[in-house]
Amino acid sequence: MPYLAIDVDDLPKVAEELAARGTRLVMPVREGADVFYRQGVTPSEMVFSGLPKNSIKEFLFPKSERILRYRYVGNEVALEDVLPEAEETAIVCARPCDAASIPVVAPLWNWDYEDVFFNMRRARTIVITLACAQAPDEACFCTSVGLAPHSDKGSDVLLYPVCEGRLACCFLTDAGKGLEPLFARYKKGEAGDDEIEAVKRSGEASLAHRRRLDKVRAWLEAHFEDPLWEQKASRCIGCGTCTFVCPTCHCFDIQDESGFDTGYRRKNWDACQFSLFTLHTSGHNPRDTQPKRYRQRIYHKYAIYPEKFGTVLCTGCGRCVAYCPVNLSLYDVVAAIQERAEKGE
Amino acid sequence: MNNIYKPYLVRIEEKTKETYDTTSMKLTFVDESVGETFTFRAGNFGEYSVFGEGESTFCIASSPTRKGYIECCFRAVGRVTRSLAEKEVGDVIGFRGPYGNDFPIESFFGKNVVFIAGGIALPPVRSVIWNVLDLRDKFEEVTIVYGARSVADLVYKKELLLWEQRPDVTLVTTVDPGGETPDWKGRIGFVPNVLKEVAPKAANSVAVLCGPPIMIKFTLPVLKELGFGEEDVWTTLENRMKCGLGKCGRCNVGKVYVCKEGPVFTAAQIAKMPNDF
Repeated sequence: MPYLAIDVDDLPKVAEELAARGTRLVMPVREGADVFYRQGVTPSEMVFSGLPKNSIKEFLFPKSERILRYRYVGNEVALEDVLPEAEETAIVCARPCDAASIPVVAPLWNWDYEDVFFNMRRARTIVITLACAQAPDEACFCTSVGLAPHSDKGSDVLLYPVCEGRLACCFLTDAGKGLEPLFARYKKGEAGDDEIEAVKRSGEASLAHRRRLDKVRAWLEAHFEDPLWEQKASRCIGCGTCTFVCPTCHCFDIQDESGFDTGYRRKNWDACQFSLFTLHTSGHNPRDTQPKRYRQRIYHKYAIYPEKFGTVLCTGCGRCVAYCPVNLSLYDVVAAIQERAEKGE
Repeated sequence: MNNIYKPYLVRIEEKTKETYDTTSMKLTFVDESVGETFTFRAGNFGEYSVFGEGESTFCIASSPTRKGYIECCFRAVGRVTRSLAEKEVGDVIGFRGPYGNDFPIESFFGKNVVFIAGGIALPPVRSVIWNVLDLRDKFEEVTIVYGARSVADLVYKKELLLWEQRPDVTLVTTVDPGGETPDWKGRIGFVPNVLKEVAPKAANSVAVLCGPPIMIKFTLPVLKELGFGEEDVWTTLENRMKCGLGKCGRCNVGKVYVCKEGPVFTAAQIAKMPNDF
């Protein structure tokens, strides 16, 4: 089946037209030597390579957001809803691992109680993803968690960088199909299945980490207590970087931002790697050492979340591997677990 | 907009200083229509907020048989609880809930019920105690064993007197050695030892047990020795929580989210959990 193709240089123009419709643009741009997803940037600054240092998480679940306003009037209190700042948003040139994080975390935000803040943002966000013909980082391990450099999970439009600087466009969802006329205005021929297959093959072949992790969950179930946790995680310094750069980590705190007689309740990113995270009033702490907190993170991602929601809480983006200040690679830990599981240890 | 983080407004109707650091409150809903329809079950908990300070998690200490209000009891330890303790009758605070599972009271019908509580853990048990006492005919013998570090640490002292006077309740109070006062008439000793002395019969009985982890640890073997089955011992896990809704990620014990699948568990369920609490 032939796919509509556009010139890669025309993608910023498509983005510009979206912006002209009043859509907030989020896309990777260069800042110094690094690439970040940023909002409110000029489409011509869009970069097509590299793994942005942040994930797209903050555009659906901000680092800190107001969830309620209170006002004291004498002895009385008045509460006002604060509408989520959920503009119509297009995330352009998203990486497949980031796009995939949205359907991964969505069931959590809707587990019996629906979080309107996430849901409203998600409903107003369209994701235009660029498949990776070349793994953007040596830390990438998406195929290990059942995804791929060309995964379409969570994307509305998936673009394949086929040869001659063109992008083959796949319109996946209704929202994505709605953009087809816009893309069609920049049509530069078509691309065939063979070209797309070539992108898929080159993306997969370029991954440095390709170990299957299919036995990790079963091993975890049986090894809550194991010397591995001390061996691997005693050097963790509990900085929480892995959780903040992670597209799927979603732990949060609720705090009040108080003024004299009015203020806001806020939802803020938090991290299971902090000792205060589980500290009881009495002083008792169920996770009183860093290896226990590290174990919680691995357990949550590879055992607890799959049991609750049927998917691992990881898209293999590799940021926690790349940005850990003590080089404690999550991939190395789960690969070691897989190896032990394969050996029956 | 349905905001799951938005609390009900509740007014402090009554405030009682239970001990030097513990306060109990009776709260009514500012919106009367909420008060008329609000229901909960013994064991449920909530998020209580002082606006401008934040939220704190504790159980509902009153019985669901008493409608139109809720009660809570807390120690002033952190920022929220200290400012909550400074609130006066008539002041408005926030309440989100009820959350979590509950004690299956109906399955206790026709049985002896043994309550065992330590220190500030009487409030969650109190909800079940009054629930049972308000439906007294449906249960056989009711025994309450309550201990605290010292006489000064016993909460709900007025109700302890009420229970002591009731012919259909056996109340045993105890304080840790050294925690007694010259006029103390209760027992002196740790809860597990006192429970062994009291030796409530295990046949056709259930036990409701709440207390600090160390007390639970030493009381479970005593209950086993007395013949209580693991399925007949009920307790609550009191993990730190923020959202109460299964999202914020901190209250889980292994795969079990205490805020949604708990806080009420049988000893059998606890025995299967990993050592993560």
